[in-house]
Amino acid sequence: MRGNTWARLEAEVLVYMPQNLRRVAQNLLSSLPPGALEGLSEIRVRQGMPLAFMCRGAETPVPQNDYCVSQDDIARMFNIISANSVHAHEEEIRAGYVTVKGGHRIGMAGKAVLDRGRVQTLRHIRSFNIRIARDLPGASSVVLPLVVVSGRPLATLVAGPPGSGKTTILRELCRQFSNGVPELGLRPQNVGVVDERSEIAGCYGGIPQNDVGPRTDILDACPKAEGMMMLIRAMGPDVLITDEIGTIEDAVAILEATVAGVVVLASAHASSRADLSRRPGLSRLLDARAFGRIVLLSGSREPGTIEQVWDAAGEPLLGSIAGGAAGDRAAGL
Amino acid sequence: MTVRLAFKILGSGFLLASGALAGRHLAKALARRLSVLEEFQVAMERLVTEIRFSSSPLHEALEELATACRDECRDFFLAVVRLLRQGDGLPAKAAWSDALEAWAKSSALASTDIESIALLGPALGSSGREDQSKHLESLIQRLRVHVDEARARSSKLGAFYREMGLYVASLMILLLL
Repeated sequence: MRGNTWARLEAEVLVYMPQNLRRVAQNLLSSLPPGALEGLSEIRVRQGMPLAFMCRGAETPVPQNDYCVSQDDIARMFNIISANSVHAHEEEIRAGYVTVKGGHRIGMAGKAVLDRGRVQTLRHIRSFNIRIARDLPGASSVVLPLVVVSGRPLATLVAGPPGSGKTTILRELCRQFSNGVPELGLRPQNVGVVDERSEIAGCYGGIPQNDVGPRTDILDACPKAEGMMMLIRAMGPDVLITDEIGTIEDAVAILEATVAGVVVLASAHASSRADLSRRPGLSRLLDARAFGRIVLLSGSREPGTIEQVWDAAGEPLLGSIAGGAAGDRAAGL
Repeated sequence: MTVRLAFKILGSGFLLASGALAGRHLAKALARRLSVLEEFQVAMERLVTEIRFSSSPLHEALEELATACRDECRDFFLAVVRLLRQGDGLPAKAAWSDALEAWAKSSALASTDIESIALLGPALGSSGREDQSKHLESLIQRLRVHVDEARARSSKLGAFYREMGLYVASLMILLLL
């Protein structure tokens, strides 16, 4: 297990560091306490500071972590991440992260360059946050029976605060719907994913790095509202999945999709049902009863914890339950 | 007497051939510069398309260009790609200038051509599509000027060098006889 994790880290994560920094990271990672490597969720690289390793939401202390990241390390790391091709990652850099091979996401922070109040690019980058993605089979096992009724998938909104496991659950539902779930009477579905932030499928060079199922068509890095219409027209999906909705345009596109008979699965940032109602785009969808199920995840305990599930009329379907086995495994992106 | 005449004829022939070859060599160098410049200009136009419309990463775009180029240009693009791949985060401008420095030693290009191409290095790969396109268009403009100048030199001096080779050889024959 440790061998696999180590090999994957070497091949997909440490490879984005320049050699001297990579050696430092290798030494530090090899001195992590047992089990910490498997739970590693983030590596934080900040100029002038030692490397920091986040395991299961908390920073793990590492002995002899005294190497401070230099400006040259940061510059070289950016060149490796961007493959010396800022033009090829323009939109991602503008959004503050780049998705790399393996579906991992490297966030970056520096000075934002604005044009008419809109971020054009980032300059003088001083820190990176490597978020390690994992395939987490079974993460949706608690949610699945709630969103498949009489062998048919229901339109579902997965809501929760950042880090609560929304994308992980969506990805897992995507895979399950694409494969079909015979025990729930769900036949395999044609799934369309509009992956604006490359988080669901984690496409790298057009190839999904996460397992999203065999009948899944992905529109990567495409704006959600436009992408949903494109997929409906071009690919005729049974199920449409997209991440982090919230604008009026998103709401209009989802209502259009619903009218077209497509089941929509989406996620949204919210800490409570009241939060959802306060956002104009989402409240419009709730008023129109566009979602048959609204699943609220909690970030207060372990990621993947289901706080509540409501039906389209807003009736709660259950009390608070933990994601159980899914919880730990949903700790990735 | 006959042997001496034979030597004179042979020597004259050798001088004429040498003069013609020297003239052709000089003319060929001019034509070679023109052909490399034209090829490089077409490659840069293609690079604009790769960057603007395909958003291809630099190393992939340069590899594409290399497959469509011959000899000098191909070797240069492949050298940049090699440095980018092995460079441990080496900036594109360093890869471009290092490869260009090596190319300049054996290239048919003039030093002014090399200087113009070198100007692209600092901008390469470090900005968005629009900005990259502007820098490339600017290089293409400069290359057009070099191509025009190389074409004029080739057509004017090419014939001159070829004829001069023969004239000089003929003159030497006359003087030696």
